[in-house]
Amino acid sequence: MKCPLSIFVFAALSVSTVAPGALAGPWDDDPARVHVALRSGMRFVEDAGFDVISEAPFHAMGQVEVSAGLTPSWWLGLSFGGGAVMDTVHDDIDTRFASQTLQLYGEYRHHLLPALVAFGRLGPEVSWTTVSLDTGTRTLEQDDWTLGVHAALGLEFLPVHGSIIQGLRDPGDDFGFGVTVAATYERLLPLDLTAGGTTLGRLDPSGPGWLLGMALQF
Amino acid sequence: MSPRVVVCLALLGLAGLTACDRPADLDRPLDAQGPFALSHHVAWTLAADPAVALLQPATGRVTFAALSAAPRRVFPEPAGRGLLVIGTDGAASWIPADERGVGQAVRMPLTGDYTAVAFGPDAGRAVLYHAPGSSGGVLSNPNQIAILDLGGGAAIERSLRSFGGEPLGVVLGPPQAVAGADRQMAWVLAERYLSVLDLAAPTAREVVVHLTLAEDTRSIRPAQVVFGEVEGAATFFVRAEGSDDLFALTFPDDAPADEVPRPYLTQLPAGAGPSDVLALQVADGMRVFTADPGSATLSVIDPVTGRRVGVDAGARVSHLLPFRAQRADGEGEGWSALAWDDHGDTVVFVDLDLLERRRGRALTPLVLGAGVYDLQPLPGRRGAVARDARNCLLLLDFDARTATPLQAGRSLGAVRVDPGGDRIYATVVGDDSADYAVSVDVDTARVTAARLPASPGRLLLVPGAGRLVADHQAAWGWVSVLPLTDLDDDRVQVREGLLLQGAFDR
Repeated sequence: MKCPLSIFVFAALSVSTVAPGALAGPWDDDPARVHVALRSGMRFVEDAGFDVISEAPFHAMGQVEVSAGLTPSWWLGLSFGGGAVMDTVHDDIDTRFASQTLQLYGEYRHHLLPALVAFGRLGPEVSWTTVSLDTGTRTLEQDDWTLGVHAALGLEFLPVHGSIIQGLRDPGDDFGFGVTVAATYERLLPLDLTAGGTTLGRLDPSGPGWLLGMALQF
Repeated sequence: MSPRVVVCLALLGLAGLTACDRPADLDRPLDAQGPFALSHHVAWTLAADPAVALLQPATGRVTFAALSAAPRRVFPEPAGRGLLVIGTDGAASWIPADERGVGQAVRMPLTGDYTAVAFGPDAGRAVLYHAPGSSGGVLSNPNQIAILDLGGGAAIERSLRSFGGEPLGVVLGPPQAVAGADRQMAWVLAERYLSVLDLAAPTAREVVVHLTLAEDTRSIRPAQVVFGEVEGAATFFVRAEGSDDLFALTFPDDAPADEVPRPYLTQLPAGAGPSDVLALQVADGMRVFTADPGSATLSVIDPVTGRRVGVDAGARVSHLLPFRAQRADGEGEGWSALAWDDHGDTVVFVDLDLLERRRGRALTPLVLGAGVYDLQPLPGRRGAVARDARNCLLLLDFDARTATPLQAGRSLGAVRVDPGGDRIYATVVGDDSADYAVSVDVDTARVTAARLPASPGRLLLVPGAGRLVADHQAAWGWVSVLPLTDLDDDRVQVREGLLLQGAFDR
């Protein structure tokens, strides 16, 4: 089995502010207001038609996200990410699937421990997807927008946190830096692939996935 | 459930998803063969997921019909009534096609690896054989043939008696009454002899007709079989390269239906090395006409008496194209022929009804500006189209005895004739080095053209769909579809990736 060549895309952006709100716990003298994360992972595409693109039913993905705390528990965020896979089909036709996704989400964050946060999120997304097939001399390619929703459940462990590293800052300060992991699910409208005057079929890029990365909150 | 178990299950789940392998056909090359022109469709065969892909060019619809095995060889029936596919499983599958698409494949298991086929005129039967020099493998028998009943799905393989030779070709006659029974005669041509089969009695022992005496070492290679009726008896005229004689085979009035009737062989004088033969009922009765390029002679042969009249054609002639025309003596319509030679610069109009009596006065030569070749008749018309050495398309009008040249820009590609004979289609590389499809109105010699997106490898006429299809030779199917009428750029419909149609809808 050949390995698909995967591409990870990362970027960073945004600033947000939040009005001071009610404190959620005894460690929250100074709750985090801005949260930034970089993650990468995989998305498993449920549609069997993805077999045409890739030998394995998944593609790599990466994203950068920025969220702002409306309250210590409720956050609003924006993430930008991308995913891609390149492989071959029918021995000598190169395939490529690439998507750039912008997600808006509402997130609930709950401190299990001062440095361990569980979160769940839900929101809409818009995705720009490219599917191409290439013989070396001829290319069939289609780009299209598609809309969808996404959800995620995850954990963040922040070993660099005032509650762990004494003297870092005030133990009541929620500044933290650590790792984040999430299970995701994206439900997207299917893409009708038509190229060269030929209807190649319908591809539904929806599916579950996972993301692993680094998070920073302050 | 302990966290350790949860983690293990999650890892197993991910491993399972990762290990999902796609269907094997997506890892195999498409390995498309085609396109083949059928009466209403253009067809490809695919090896990856064995199937026949059909494009209906008028509607643009692409459909797939599964095959039992990957195709090894594909033979389209000449009239477009179907495909005969020999698969890697050794079986032959006859796939009939009509305006609705392809029908249920008729599968016939075989043991031989055949490389050529001859279809009957009605596509009811076919004979698979080994083309000369194509036998291979460990040890193969080039004289093994397979007689296929395409409608009934039966195949009978048998080995023909050989006298050191192998089939040069196979000719199938039409189903007809011969020797008191309904038969379909087939002729397997070999050096110095031919084998006669009755396909209606496929297990009957063949009859071998030797064309030379036993001690004769000449190379006599039968090349053409022409049917005629002499005094009410079906007669087959066999022309052979290396022989000055024409071999006429007739059959007894009666023979058991389950046996191949034994023919009577008559040798007719046919000039010096005839290269084409016609058998026609003319004013004086059945006559056989031959063209002898070596001596620039046309011969008229009375098959009853064996009398031959040679007429100097005035130019080298090697082919005869018959057509109906008004006789020069005003006695109504009769048979005429256009006689020509490949790359010759003169064609000769021959009044076949009067040739025997008037001889040279029955000939009308037409001197052209350059040598002509690839001459094709215009069906239903007294005319033909040819190419010439000046890179011209030449319209020959048999009534007016004219030849109208149409000059191609840079080069002339494939030439196809509309089944109605009204139009001629060709591919041309223009002065601008671009590829064009051109349509010629035969009545007016008016040319219209449409630019093609790429060089066409093949030009296919699909008369049942009223379309012309130019194949641009991409692995996944890339064609330009044009109407059978005047052309312009807006009328070109380009379709690419046809063989991947619906690929994502698995």
